[in-house]
Amino acid sequence: MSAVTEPAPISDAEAERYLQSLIGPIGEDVTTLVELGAVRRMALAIGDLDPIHFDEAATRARGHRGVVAPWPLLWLYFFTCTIYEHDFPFGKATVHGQDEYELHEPMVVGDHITIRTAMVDAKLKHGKTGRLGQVVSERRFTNQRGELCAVLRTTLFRR
Amino acid sequence: MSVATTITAAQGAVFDDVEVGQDIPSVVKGPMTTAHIMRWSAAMENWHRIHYDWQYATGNDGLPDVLVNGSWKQHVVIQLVADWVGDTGWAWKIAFQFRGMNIPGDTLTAWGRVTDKEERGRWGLVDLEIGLRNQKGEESTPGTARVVLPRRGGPPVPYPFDPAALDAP
Amino acid sequence: MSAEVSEPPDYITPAVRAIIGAEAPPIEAPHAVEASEVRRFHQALMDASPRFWDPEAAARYGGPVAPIGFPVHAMRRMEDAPDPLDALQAGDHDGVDRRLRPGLPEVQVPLQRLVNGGYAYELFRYAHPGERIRLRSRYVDIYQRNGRTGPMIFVVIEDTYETVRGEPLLRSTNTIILR
Repeated sequence: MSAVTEPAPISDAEAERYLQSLIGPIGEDVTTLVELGAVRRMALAIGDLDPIHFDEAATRARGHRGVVAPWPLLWLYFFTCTIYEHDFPFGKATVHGQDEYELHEPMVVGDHITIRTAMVDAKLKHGKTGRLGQVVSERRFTNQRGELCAVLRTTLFRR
Repeated sequence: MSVATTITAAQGAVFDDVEVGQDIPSVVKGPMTTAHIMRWSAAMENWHRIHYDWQYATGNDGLPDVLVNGSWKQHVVIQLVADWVGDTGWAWKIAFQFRGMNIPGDTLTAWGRVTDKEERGRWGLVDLEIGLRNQKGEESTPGTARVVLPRRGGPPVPYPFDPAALDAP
Repeated sequence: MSAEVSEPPDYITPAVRAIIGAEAPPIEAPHAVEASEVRRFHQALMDASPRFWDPEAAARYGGPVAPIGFPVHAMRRMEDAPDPLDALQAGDHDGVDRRLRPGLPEVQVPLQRLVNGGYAYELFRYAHPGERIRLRSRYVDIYQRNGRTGPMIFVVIEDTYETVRGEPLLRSTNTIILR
C-alpha cells in the first residue's frame, strides 16, 4: 500500500480569509408550496396529533388561515430547497452545532413559501482540540403575502 | 459508478415491427445500496425491519443482508414495459411474483422477451415474458405482460385506456 | 421416518367460505397526490421519464403524472391510527401489519406464515397531482391446496384504485399464501 500524502494544512490567516469569503447570500431564492401530505407526514413523524395539522375545520375554528404546518417542517425545506453543505479547505469533519429559531406567522397548507439563504457569520476559533471553524447560516421563510414566517439560524462547526 | 436511469422516448414500439422472440431494451438499476433501500422505504412509509435493520435482518430472520423492497422491484419491471410502449402504446397488464431476494451490491436488470402477438381491433396486442435479474443472472421477479401497440398508420392507442375500446367497431 | 401421511384438515370452513366476496368499505387517501410526492417516488424509483414533471412530455396524459404504480402506495397512515413504530418496541416485531387489508374480515385460518404470491396489475390511467385516490378491496377467492410441505391457503384479493370521481386507475389482484 502506498502512503497517502495529506495536503499541507492551510494557515490560520488563509482559513480566516476563506471563512470571510463565505459571508453573503447563498444561492437564489427558492419558492415552495406547503402541501397537506408533507404537513401530515411531519406531524405524524413527530407525534404531534393536534387536529390543526390535519383538519381544515379545526384550523378555521382556531382562527388559522388553513391547515397549519408543524414548525419542524422548516427542515424539509432546509434539505430540499437550500444548499446546506460547504466544502471547507481545512479540518476533517463538519458537525451540526446548534440552531436558533424565530417563529412568526404560521405556514399553512397552500402557502407559497420563499426561502432566502445567507451566511451571516463565519469565524475561526481555537479550542482545546485545536482549530475550529464556526459558520452561521440563516434562512428566512416568507409567505406569498409578504409575511415573515420564520428565521432559522444554523451553526456548523468545522474541526 | 453512477446509478443508471432511462429517459422515456415519446415514440414507443409499433406493432408491425415486433417479432415473437425478440428482446425488448432492458432497464438497469444499481449497484443498489442501503441508501437506495432507505429512500424507497421512506417514500412509501414501509416499516418492515428487514429493509433497514441489519442486525434484525441477519440475526432474527437469518437473511444475508437487508433486502431490496419487492415493492420497489415491481416498479422496475413496470418501467421496463412502460418505457418500451412509450407514450404511443399502453402497458395494459403486468403480473409478477417475488421469487428471490436482492441485497445491497446487486445490479438489477429488468428484461423482457416477446412471446406472442396478435391483431386486435385497430390495434395490436403483444405478450411478453419479463423479469429482474441480478449481476449473477439470478431471477427474482419473473412475470408476464400484455401491451397494446399502435399499428403503422393506425389510430393511437386510446387513453385513458379502456379494454372495451379494443373491441369497439 | 414414517411413510404415513395424514390428510391435513380442511381449513376452508363455512366461516372462511362466508367471507369470499366480502368487500371492504372504500378507503380514501388522506390527501391528494402531491407534486413533491411524485418527485420523491420517481427519484426513489430512479425513473427519469419527463412525464413526471414536464407538461409537454406529459401532453398525452393531460399534464404531469405520478408513476403508473403509485396508487398502491397512496393510502397512508391516518392520524387516528396507532403508530406502527410502537409495535417495534415489542422487541422482535418485524414491523409488518398482519391484517391483509383494513376493512376486510380476518381470514380465520390457524396458519401463521404469510407469503406474498405476487400481483397481477391491470393499468388504465395515470394519477395526477391534485387527484385524491380511493381504494376498494374484496376477497375474490380463498382456497386450499395441499402440497408436499403441508397445506397452503391461497387468499386472492382484488384492489381497485380509482380517483374519488370514479375514474379507474389500476386494478391489482394480489395472491397471499398462508401456510
